[in-house]
Amino acid sequence: MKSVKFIACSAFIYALGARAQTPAAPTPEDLQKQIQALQQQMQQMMQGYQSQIKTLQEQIDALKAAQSPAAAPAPEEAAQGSVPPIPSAPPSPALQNPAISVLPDFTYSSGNDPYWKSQNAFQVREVELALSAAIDPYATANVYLSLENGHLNAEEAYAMFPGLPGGFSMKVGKFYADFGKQNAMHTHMWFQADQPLALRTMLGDEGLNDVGVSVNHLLPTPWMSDLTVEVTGGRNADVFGGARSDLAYNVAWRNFWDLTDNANLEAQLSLAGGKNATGHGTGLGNLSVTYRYKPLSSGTRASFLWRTEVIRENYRGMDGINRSTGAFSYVDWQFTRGWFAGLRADYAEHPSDPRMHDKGGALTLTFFPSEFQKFRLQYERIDYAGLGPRNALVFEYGFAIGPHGAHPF
Amino acid sequence: MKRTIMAALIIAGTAISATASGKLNVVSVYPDYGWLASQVGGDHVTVSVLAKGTQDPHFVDAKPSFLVALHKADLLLVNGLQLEVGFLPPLLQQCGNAKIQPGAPGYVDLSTFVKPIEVPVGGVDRSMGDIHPYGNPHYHLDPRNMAAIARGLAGVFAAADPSHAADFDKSGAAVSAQLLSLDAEVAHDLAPIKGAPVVAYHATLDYFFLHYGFNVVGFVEPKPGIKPSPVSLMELEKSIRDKGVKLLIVENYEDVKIADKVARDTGARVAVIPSYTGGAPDAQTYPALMRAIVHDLLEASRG
Ligand SMILES: [Zn+2]
Repeated sequence: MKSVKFIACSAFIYALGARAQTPAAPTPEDLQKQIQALQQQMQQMMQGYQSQIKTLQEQIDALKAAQSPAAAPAPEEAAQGSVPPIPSAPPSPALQNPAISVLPDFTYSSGNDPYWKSQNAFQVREVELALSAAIDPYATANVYLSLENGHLNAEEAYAMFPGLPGGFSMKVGKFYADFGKQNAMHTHMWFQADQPLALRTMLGDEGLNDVGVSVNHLLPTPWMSDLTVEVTGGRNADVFGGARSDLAYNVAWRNFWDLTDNANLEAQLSLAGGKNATGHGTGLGNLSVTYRYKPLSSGTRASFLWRTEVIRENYRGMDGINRSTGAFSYVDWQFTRGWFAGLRADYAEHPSDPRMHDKGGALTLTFFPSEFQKFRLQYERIDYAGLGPRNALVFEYGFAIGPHGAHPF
Repeated sequence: MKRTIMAALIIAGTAISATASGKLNVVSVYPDYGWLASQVGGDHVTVSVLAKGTQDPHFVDAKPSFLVALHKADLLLVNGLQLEVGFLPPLLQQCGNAKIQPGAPGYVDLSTFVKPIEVPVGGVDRSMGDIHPYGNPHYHLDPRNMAAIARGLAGVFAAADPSHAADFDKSGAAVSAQLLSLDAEVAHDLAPIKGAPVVAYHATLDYFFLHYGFNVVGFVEPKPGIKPSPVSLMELEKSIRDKGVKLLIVENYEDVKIADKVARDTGARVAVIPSYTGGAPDAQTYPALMRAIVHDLLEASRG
């Protein structure tokens, strides 16, 4: 801009100077001619300057345009639509690594059922602490600590190797045996307030849970089918417990069929064996069948699940083999969003004396206000060893904080 | 124990040599990206899809049958932004496939090709409902995002199968151009109702609303993933009346009955729309899905 002004000023001075050089006493004709010449000169000069100014202005415009990038996002998006602002809060540690979740479970029980009578009326039955994180690119850690009656136990603590050569996956550490579906379920995932009678009576309160290695591979069948082989230390007070070197084994063959988009069927056969406290062998079998119905496009989220497991135990003791059988069957029906009604039938022979058996059932009503908490009311009626029915009314409440969102199916 | 490990290693060795095959095996969690993958990959890929377009993308069950596809996948296309957090992690742990584990090149998070909206500032917790902590994950309903993903997929496929890189590049560009013209078509067709105040069920269509110029006045869900209460519905109905909302938009897997009730109370009209490819008989491809949504919105606002 400065240079433009300078050129304009000097042009004016030059014009004045030209006028000053005019000779004295000129004729009117001369004057006329001189004026015309001057006018022409002036016009030419002005045209020149104008074109110069125009060129300069164009250059300035070009520079300015280059400075404001044409690639910048068009303001079109902000101006067009609008959506409500999303809320925010102080940073939550739950989103940091490792993923930590806490899942307490409270119960209140009344009635004359001996299983519930052995527990406090109001109790914090369990506080589960779930931690998980990738260890490195090869393995993921899953640790489930359980605080029960003042004792902290590693309910499960294992490394999962999801992609070994040859399509194998492997678990190393302490884990629930893949023995039926119910055995591996944590307390907060149960469909009723307690474990089915058959598991409690035949496998003990902790179920089949031990330290060892579990290897899994898909089978090349046209339907989904896989095989899990587990080798563990053989420590379970009720069924295993031989010498230090007596390991326990479990093989699970799982099959799954999508019947329709909305329904599927799962069947699993599990066979386990090891040495028991008498030094002889215990053999266990489990046949588990699950039918699930869940319409994909259901606004009300109705669903239905039916599961039956039959457990067989052959316990060889000092005085021969005891063959006992246990079974349970339950349904869980989601009749509207968040609300489930359930029914369970139980049967279990005593492994120590199969002539004696317990049988009964439970009715449940469960409400999930969200995925992260539940209220449950359960009525239970069990006849232990033919001594007459015992009743229990149980109220259960549990919640989950932290990212523990993904559940095994 | 030793014998078991030996046996496992022997089987492992034989299984590796059996996996060599010609085409790239692509698994997409959601059908929209499955459609995109087959458009970009053409004959050089086989594509399988886990979730159905008719189901709520937040609540896909971790069905064991998904393991069959995951087990042999070369590439896994995930939506990311934690949309799959409720079901994919256990499946990945079980699938026995190292190629598609998070962190491996075969794990393709498609959200890296787009710019997420509604990323919370300052952190979130569940008092806000089941909020998406890394931003709105439903970015597929803006065709420009799909165009960007098409170009991104061409690069991903080329890296996995360099012998067909030129084909992928060509089809990636073509599909991307096709999606951008789809975008122009949708914008043109929606012009008559542009700027309309609307109420939606969940933030599934926020990318769509922002881009095509709708004003979202509120959601039927009082908070993400939370069931509406009588009180929250009363407040919603008040703002529908106050702001003159004529259009209530509901994903077809949500509770349409609640939306119908709100519509009856307020005189607004309900558009029940598919929001994922395959979500309706007339939405079997992604362009068909976009046209079906446009059709449903125009139809409902016409009355
Ligand atoms: Zn969402």
